[in-house]
This record gives sequence, C-alpha cells and structure tokens, in this order.
Amino acid sequence: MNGSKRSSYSTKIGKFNGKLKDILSSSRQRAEIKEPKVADIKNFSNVPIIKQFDNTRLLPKYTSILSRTGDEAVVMDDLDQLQQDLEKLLCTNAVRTRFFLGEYNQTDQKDSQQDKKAHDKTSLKRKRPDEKPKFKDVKNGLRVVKKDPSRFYNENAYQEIPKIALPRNDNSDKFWASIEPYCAAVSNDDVAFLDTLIQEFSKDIDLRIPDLGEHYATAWSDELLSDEQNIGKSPTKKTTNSDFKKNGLHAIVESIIRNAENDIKINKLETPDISKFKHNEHTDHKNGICLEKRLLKQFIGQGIFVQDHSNKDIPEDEILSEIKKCQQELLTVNRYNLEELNKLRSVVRNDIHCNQLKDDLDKIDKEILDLYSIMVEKKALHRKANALLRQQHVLNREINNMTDMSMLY
Amino acid sequence: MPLTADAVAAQQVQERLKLLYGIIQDIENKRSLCEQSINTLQRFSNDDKGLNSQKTKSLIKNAMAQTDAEREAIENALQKIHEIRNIKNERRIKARTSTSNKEAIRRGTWIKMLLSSAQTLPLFVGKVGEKAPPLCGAIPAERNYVAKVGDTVVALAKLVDKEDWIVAEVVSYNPGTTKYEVEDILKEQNQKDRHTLGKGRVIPLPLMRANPETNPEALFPQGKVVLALFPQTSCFYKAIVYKQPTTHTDEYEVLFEDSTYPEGYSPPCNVAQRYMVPYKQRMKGSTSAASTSQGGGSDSDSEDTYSKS
Repeated sequence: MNGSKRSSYSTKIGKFNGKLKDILSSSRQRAEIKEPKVADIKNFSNVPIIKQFDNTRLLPKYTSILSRTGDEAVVMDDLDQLQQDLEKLLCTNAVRTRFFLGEYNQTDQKDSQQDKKAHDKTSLKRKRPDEKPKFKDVKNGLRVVKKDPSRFYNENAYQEIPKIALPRNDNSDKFWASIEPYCAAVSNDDVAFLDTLIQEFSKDIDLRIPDLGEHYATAWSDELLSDEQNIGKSPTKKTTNSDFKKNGLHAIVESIIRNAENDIKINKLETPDISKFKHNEHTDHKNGICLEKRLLKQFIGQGIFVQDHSNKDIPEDEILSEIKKCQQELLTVNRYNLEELNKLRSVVRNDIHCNQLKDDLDKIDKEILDLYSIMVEKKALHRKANALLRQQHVLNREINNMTDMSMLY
Repeated sequence: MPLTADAVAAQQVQERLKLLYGIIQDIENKRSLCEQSINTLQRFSNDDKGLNSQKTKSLIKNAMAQTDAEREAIENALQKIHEIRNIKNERRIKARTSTSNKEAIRRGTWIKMLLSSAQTLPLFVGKVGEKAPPLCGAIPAERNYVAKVGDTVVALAKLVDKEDWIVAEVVSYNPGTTKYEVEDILKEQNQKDRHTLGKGRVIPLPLMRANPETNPEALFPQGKVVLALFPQTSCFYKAIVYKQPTTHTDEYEVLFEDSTYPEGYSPPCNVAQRYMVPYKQRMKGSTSAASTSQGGGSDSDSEDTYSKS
C-alpha cells in the first residue's frame, strides 16, 4: 500500500537546483548568520563516508545487485532492500556535503580575515575590478595594462601573509619573556636575600659627629703665618705692608682699630702703649686673627656692643641640630623600611607555601585530565558498541521483514 | 483492456528496473571518484597542515562536486524506485475500482503492508538550506491541500457505536461539497467500509519521511501531542512524543493516552514517521474516550492478527 501517488522527488527541488555554485554562494551568506552545524575537525580523517570496501557489510542488497549481470539484474523483490541501502548512501552523502561546507566556510573565513588584515588596500582593489576598471577601460585604453600587475601583486600577497604574521608573534614572545622574571614564582633564595637585607638594616649605625674644629678664618690666618715664616724673616713693617697687600680687608680693619685707639688714648698713654700695641699686634699675628672675634672684642671693649654669651653658641648649634634632625629622619625611614621588609618576608613565606599548594593542585589537575581522556576513550568505545548494536538491530529487522514478506506469499 | 493496461505497466516497470541497474553502476563509479577526491584531500591536509588554504579550498570544492554528483545519481535511482512503486500502486487502485470481485485482503496482511509502506515511504534528504516541504514528516499539509485518490489518510469515521480515527484510502473527493469518500482498509471487519466525510475529518498522512540528520525541523518535538497509529491496529490515538528518531530508519517512541495505566499513559511504543499526524484540538472529547476503550482491547486485536496470519 504505497499511498504516495506522485513522484515525491520531483517536488523536492527547492531553491537550489542542486547546483554546487548556488549552494556555495548561498551558504556563504548564511554563514554569517548561522554557524555551520558540523564540528570543527581540521584533519579530514573522519569525513562521513561509506567506503567501498564496506559495501558488503553495510549495503548488502546494493552490492549483490552490482555483482549481477544480465537482463534480470534487478527484480521487484529487491526494491525495498535496495531503497534502504540507497537511502543510507544518500544520508551519508548529505551529512558529508554539510561537513565539507563547514570546512570550506571556515577556510574561506580565515582566508578573508587574513586578507583584510594584511592587505586592506589590495582587497579593496580586488572588490572593485568588476566596476571600476571597466569604467576606466572605456576612458583610457592604457589602464588595461595595469590590471595584470595588480593581480600579480595580489597573488604575491598570499605568500607574504605568514611572513608578516611571524614577527608580530615574536614581539609578543619578547614582551612576555621580559615580563617573566618579574612574574616568576618566589623561591627560597628570595627569602635569603630578604633576610640579609633585614640584617643590614637592623644594624645600629654609629654616626659620630666630630667636635667643632677651628673656624675657617682662624685656620686660614694660621696657614698664612706659617707661609710667611717659611718664606723668611722679615721686618714687621714689611709684614704690615704685605698685610695690606695680601689681606686687604683684614689690614684695613686693623688700621682702623689702631687709629681709633690712638685717637682716644693718645694723650694718656704714649710710648708704653704703642710698644704694647705693637706687641699686641704681634701676638695677634701669631695667634691668628679671627676677624669677627676681634671686631666683636673691640666693639665690646669700647662699649659699642653689649656682650651676649648666648649669642656666641648659636651658629655652631644650627648645623648640628640640622644634622641631628636629618639623622633622626633617616632613622625613622630605616625603621619603616625594616618593618616593610619584615612584612614582605612573611608574605613571601606565605607565597612559598601557596606555590607548594599550586604544585599539588597541578598534579591533581593532570591526573584528572588523564582520567578524563581515558573516560573519553571509553565513551567512544561505548558509542561504537552502541552503533554496532544499532546495526545489529537494523539487520535483525531486515531479516524479520524478509521472513515476514516471504510468509505473505 | 485491463490486460493490456497491465502489460503496459509491466513493461514500464521492466524498463525502469533496467535503468535502475545502469544507475546503480553509475552510483558505484561516482562513489569511487568521490572516495578518490577525499583521499587526495586527506593526504594533502596531512602533509600541508593547513598552510596552503587556497589548495585546501579547491580540494574541498572538488570533493563537494564529486559528492554532489554522487547525490544526483543516488536520487536518480531512488526516483526510479518510487516511479516503479507508483506504477504498481496505480494498477492496484484501478483494479480495485474497476472490478467488483476484489480479493479481500486479510487484516494481518494489511498490518504488514502498513509496516512495509512505512519503511518504503520516500525519504526526504534536504540539500543545504532546503526546508522540508509540506507532508514531509511533521510538516502539515497546506490549507487547501486535497489528498489524491488512493492516498492513505486518517479519517474520523463512525464505527459501530463510536467515532474513531482510522486508516483509510481516499476513493474520491467532491470539490463542491468539500467531502471525501474514503474506504476503510479493514473492510471485512467493519460493516460499513465507505465513509463520506468532511475535510476536517480527514488528515492526510505524510508523503515523505524526514531525515533527522539533515532536517530535524520536520520532526515532532519531544512532548508534542500527536495522533499515532496504535501498534497492530489500524486506529490512531492521542499520544505524546517520548523520543525522536535519530536516524532515517528509526521510529518515534510515543506514550499513548491510556487510563488503564496508573500514570494515564502506556509504556513507550514505536511508531513510524508515516503514522504520526498533528493532534487536532477540537476532536479532543471523542478521541481520548476512544483511546481509553480501544487501548485496553489492543491485546486481543493483536492476538487476532497472529491467528489470522
């Protein structure tokens, strides 16, 4: 009771009249909307196909008809079985078409992506030749010649693509290589290094501030005197003269003081004073003269200045206190650094522990992956077993049908 | 006259059988070409590791072209097979209408024929992007579709005391009254073998099977309420799709509505794609009642079948 009266296959012809070109072009449009159903299998080792050496096993009726010869090669009784075999072939064929289509689209997409990235301009050129060159051709016949070089260039472009891609990868590798030492896992060496640092920082620094030396002016005049003595013995007047020349300011002050003394005390103290003064002058030279001190002494002595003891120490203390302040600051910084180093050390210790845990985790991960792959293999076996069972079932049913049909007649 | 017509039909069949043999040889050639191109592709992809995509593409294209050629040849062969079946079927219908002393076909034979018809129903394997046409698998017929004479349909017919969806063959269609005349395939069991029914009471059965691998959209989804042929009977009852077929030879697994079971449904039964039609909501009352009464009685029916065959 075959209810279908009309030939069903004639109604089957749809949009594409079975033309490969149509299918390809339409599928390319669709690929943007819908991903191909077939999984990504790069090697073509499992293309869905019924191989010819499987004929006898999978397509029994088909094979037996193939081997027959003569007029009565196919008889009515063969049709049911033959139909099933052919349908099996057709289904595999349809699945294969989809498989190839998926592969083709993938390769195509990859290609066009590379194309776009590497040669935007050339790809633009390639898109247009249908319109523009024609337009130009009409205008200017010479342009026709230009078509060929551009095509040649495009062909070259395909080969150049990998070369361009490689250095880019290299750069990223370099970048990661430069980053790596900073991201490396902490080791015991790092702890040791931190320990030495902490030791160094926790040492007490014995910073002694030397006692205050002679004022530079005093030191200079001392030097001057010794220089003079070394040169040779000279009269005092000459010395004063040389004073005038060598140390102008100093000598002027001296003479001013001398004059002032003379003016005031000229009457009372005549000869002895001068000799005394002369002697003083000498001793002054001997001991070295601090300009400031002397001026101050003189001013105080003459009552211009009031002696102030507290003032005397101030310039010396200012620097000392500055030094001490700086020292204090450095000490606090050091203390802070030490604290931080200690913190860091504890963090590093924790991290080392973490690393150990990570190693353990990696090991377990690997074991799980191994197990999983074993399971997948077993699952594949299971699937194969199922497929075999299904085949067995189909064959069984076929046998049953055969016996049923034979019982009818 | 009938003799000559028969002779012509037999000649036509013989012609096609001969052609079929040639086509099968052709298929084998196409297959070997196809296998060759695939082998080349495999070898190339192993050596090349996907570096030369242009070449890969051209090889794939080549393999696709071969596959396409193979498909055309296979479809051609199947077409011939269906042509032969159609010629046979036409002869059968002619014989039934012209002669009155038709041989009564027994119930068991009918059941077997129903089964084999389910298996030999043309298979629809859609090309890429091609949707299944109406009356393929679960796709319903178009609104104004009229079943042809000799087509198998499901008809809501009044049997002795109740209404049932039965398997019937279209005898004629009156466009004026939009009524079908259908013939119950089990004539000898039911007194009244011809029914005149409105269009709404006749559901055409699918004319093609859908291939689950390429056209899953033409399958009833799991949980869908359908009318399905109860095994070993010629009656359709309300059922729920339990499992879809996974290959083109697979059958559906359905749960029939049956109040004799505590869950209200029978255990899963296998039903071929050919004997599944969408359930019509407005007939709800009559069918569910019928299924209840008939579901229980199916055991005795099947026993009857075996004793007769």
